Amino acid sequence: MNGRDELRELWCSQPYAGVAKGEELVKLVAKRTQHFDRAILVRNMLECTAAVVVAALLTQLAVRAHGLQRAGFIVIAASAVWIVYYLLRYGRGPANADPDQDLNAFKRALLERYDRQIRLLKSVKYWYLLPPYIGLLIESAGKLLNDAKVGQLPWRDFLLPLFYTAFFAFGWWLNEVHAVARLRTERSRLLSLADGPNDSDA
Amino acid sequence: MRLPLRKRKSMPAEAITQPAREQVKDANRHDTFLRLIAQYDPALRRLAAGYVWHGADREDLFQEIAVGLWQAIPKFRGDASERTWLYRIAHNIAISSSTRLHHRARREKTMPDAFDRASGGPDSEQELLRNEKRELLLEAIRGLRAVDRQVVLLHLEGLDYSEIEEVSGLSQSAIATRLSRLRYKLRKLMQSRETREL
Repeated sequence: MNGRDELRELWCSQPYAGVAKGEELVKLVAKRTQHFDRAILVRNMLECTAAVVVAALLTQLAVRAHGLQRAGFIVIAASAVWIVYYLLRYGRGPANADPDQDLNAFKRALLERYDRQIRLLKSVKYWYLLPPYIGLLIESAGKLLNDAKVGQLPWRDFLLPLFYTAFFAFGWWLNEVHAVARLRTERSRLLSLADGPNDSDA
Repeated sequence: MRLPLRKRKSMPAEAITQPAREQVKDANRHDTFLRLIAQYDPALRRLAAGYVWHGADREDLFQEIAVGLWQAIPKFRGDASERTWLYRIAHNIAISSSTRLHHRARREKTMPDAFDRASGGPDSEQELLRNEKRELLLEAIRGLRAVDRQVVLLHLEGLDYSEIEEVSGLSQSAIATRLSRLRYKLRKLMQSRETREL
């Protein structure tokens, strides 16, 4: 027996223990697909609902407030709508790269997907964090001025900006540092795993 | 058999409603899927074993491939043969999934593979030796880079050069060169591990 046949024989003689088969597998596949579709639908609905609720609430507050505080509330309300618009318009590419292509093309598609996600996360500070943060700063400044006018400067006026600054800084770290690092690791893993057909002897 | 022209005219396209068309499509997809799985189940499970270490991961990968096939069936145009189309999808899904499963795989690399041993049921010394050799082959294959792994796995599954070309996008001469190099490399790797274990 030559080496090649032995390898093939060894390979094909692998024992396997399949859990799901036939109709059972169809049900499982349908369940997984539906679960995925439903998860996306729920996420989109939650985001839109949250944006509408935040915008409505802040608009109501803006109506009651005056001066800088009103401007702050309007900016936050607009930010909520803007974030959902941005997510729906630019944030969602195809869920997965189309696997019906050769390895090199598939690798390119996967890398593009990683790059798009990394770009999106790296720009989070501009389209996701900064607009509501600026709105909150304006609102806080307005409140501080109003309180100063009546001769009251409660500690909350100073503590609240510190709290949400820390919150937004954490959001920035989570997206731009932590998540980007994870995606970069996966990307480099893909690069080292899938050396393209053009790189050596194609 | 084709319908006579008059009869075809009397049955306009609108007569087949959209939901009915969808039902036919779904039934076709369902039947095609069942046929493909029945035909390629062992091959797809072997393929999963070539990409991930742990038994649970293999089942998970197999199911991911099944989902990928289910989603791809309506898009199949018949440009390539069904077999090469299926392998292309399966390998690509395996590559993208194994990128995510890498950390878990590395952690469990040193653990004995209960999946193979338990299901193989070695009852003789020869069978035991065979199982060990198979483990060595799997280990050697999992150590290859994706494109090499793909070429070797397709070759071991019995695809010819033109079919491997359709799946991988490599030229036939490149496949031949790679395969002879890889066969030599695999034998060497297996031998070196065998001697190390002795």
